[in-house]
Amino acid sequence: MPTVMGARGARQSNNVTRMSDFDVNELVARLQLVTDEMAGAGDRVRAAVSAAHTTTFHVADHDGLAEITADGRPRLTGVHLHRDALHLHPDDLDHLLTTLLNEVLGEARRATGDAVFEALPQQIRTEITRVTDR
Amino acid sequence: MTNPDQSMDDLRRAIDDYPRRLAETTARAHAAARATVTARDESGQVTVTASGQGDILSVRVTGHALHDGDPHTLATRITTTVNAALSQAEATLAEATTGTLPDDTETTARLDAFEQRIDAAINRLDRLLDD
Repeated sequence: MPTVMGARGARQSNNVTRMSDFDVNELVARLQLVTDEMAGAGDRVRAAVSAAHTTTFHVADHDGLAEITADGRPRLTGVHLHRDALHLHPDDLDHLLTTLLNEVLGEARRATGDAVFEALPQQIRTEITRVTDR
Repeated sequence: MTNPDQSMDDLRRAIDDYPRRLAETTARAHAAARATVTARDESGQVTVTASGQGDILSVRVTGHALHDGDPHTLATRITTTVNAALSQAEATLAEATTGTLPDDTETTARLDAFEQRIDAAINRLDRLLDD
């Protein structure tokens, strides 16, 4: 008689191991372990995202005309303009604000991305690194 | 009752179709990232343009707001308008990536069908071994 599969813990009968003779309890225990590990990883990622979202980032120009703060979502939490900023030409104010905004928003995105990455299980981090050259 | 062979075919088609769905979604995401969104505050004094991936492209403030406004009010308007533009950009990108995967109901049904197919195959093997 052929042997279909020699699973650990499987019931033997007449030297034949049947596919249906898997140790269901062992399989369930292993699946539960995987589920628990995934739930734990999910909790760690959620906590990392939550912490990153409340982190504050700040930029200002050298002349003290504008200061901008943002959180990790990223959303602006505050803009402060010096009165002299209102004397700028609209194009210059546009350039100043656009530069500062992209700086603070980029910093916030990078920090949140790094925090989430660090919270991921090692196998997933390795795969992300392989695929994205992170 | 679900036909196991039909269910297996459905699952195989879904798997075979995945690269096409992924390519389409990637193309939509790239298009959305290149697109621009614009937000304007209620007074019309501040207009912010952003790319779909959330880069700020311009912050236009009217001459009236610069000459007659006060810095605090203008800063508040800028904050609100930039955040509105960022929300629009995120919504645009999210919309573009919707529909990559079958929804949960569809996925669950296919996995259930796959499980039934495996059970049927195991039963067949057992019967063959009993003969």
